[in-house]
Amino acid sequence: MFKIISIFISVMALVVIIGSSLMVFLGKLTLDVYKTWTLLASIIWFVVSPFWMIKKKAVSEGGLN
Amino acid sequence: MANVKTLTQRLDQLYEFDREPVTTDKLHSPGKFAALFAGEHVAATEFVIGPMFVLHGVAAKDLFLGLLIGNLLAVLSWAFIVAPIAVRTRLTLYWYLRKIGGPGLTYIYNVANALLYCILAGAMISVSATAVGLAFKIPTPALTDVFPNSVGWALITLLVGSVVTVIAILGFEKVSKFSTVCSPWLFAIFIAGALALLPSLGEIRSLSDFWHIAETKIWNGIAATGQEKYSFWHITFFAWFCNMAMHIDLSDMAIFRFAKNWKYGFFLAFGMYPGHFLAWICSGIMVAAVARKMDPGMMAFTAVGFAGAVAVVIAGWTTANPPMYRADLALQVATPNWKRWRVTLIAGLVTTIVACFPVVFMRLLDFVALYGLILMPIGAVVFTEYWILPKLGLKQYRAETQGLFINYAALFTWVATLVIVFILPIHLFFKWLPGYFIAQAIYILLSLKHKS
Repeated sequence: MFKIISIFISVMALVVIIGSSLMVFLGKLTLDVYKTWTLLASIIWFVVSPFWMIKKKAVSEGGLN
Repeated sequence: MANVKTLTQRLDQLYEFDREPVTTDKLHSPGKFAALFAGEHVAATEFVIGPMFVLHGVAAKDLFLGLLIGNLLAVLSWAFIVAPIAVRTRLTLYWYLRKIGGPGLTYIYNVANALLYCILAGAMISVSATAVGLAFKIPTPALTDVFPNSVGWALITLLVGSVVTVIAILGFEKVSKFSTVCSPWLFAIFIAGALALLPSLGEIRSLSDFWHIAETKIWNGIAATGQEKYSFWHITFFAWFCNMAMHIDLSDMAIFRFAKNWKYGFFLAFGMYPGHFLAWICSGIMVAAVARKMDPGMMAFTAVGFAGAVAVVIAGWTTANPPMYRADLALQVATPNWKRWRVTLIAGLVTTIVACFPVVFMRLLDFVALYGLILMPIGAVVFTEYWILPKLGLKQYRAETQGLFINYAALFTWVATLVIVFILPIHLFFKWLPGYFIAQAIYILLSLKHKS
């Protein structure tokens, strides 16, 4: 249950980031307000997403992304 | 020679954990591969590559078509070149190359790779420094700068490089895990930045409005002063060879040896099109909106605010981490009695000094081309050894069966191919393709000699 809630909150944080920029694109939000929303959503992402994302073990030999 | 043999034994010990072929019970499902690739190709390099296309005066149609086709060719290279060999051998490139080239050649390959990794990590630290420099009002070097443009720039790169090195000393693995958390967020930042800045380029009410702005204000076909103009072919080839070390040069055998089926190679489309298509387009839009100034930190700060500047710092740092790790592994072999932290410190120091020189990130596209090109002949040798030699009735894995320390045919192929391609009077981006076939031809001819 905790994992599902974490995933939901994380996804919502990304939705806020893209959604607020879309509102700027549509002229319904100012750049300053969008930047504040993006910062808050980013903080939420980094607080919540590690609970469900940090599992994978890197297997790549490295290289350029 | 005895010393070199000891070095290769130490190198073997470092990679001992993945010496045996992957067993069938350890294979992963297609979903895991799709998820892995989806987050793998959005990184700090995307803050530089997309804007570079704009500054090199590529036209909008050439960019979109070039990226569509180039990325498709890259996906096909993963699916038809690296994946089939990996699922049949179930080995990493390190151990497979050892069978073909012998421990000596594998060592040389590893050292060359480590040096290239240091330069790549240095470029990523420079990218991070552009964002950190904002806080101290330190101007980012100009597009044509080779040396540091100010004491401030040198100090800021030394500061960022030192922090990255100290964190690496505390543990590469923690940063690697942290970077998996960053990828989806970073992708959202690219999309958000482009969407938020698009209105500053003109009013967009329809797709045709967007296309008009794309053709006239973003990818308008006019190269910045002192920059070479790029065409459809430059974009196609760049998108194709951008990850050449992983596909044509086969380093992604490390991943695909866990695949149940070679067709998992097609899943790279989940990584390439978001990262090397959308993210490059987004960063191109952002740079056009900030007066076409090559300054990733300032660009992301203007587009996304404080979160954008943080994104550039984090992206640079997490992208620098894996190459530093590889350089660190190579250095460990050469310095057997040193403590691990000391080795990482040296790798970090080299990387940080490289980062002070803005040319490494201002000429990132050329470096990416060189990086793939230098390793390409070995990729061609491995491909030839696996697929072509048996068809010609020639023996495979002579280095392993005859206990050769160095397969000189492979070494000669590597060196001769590089000499030929550097002489070839064609653009750096296009050299690798004829070079790949030249390398195969040389290696086949040298192998035929052993048949007789």
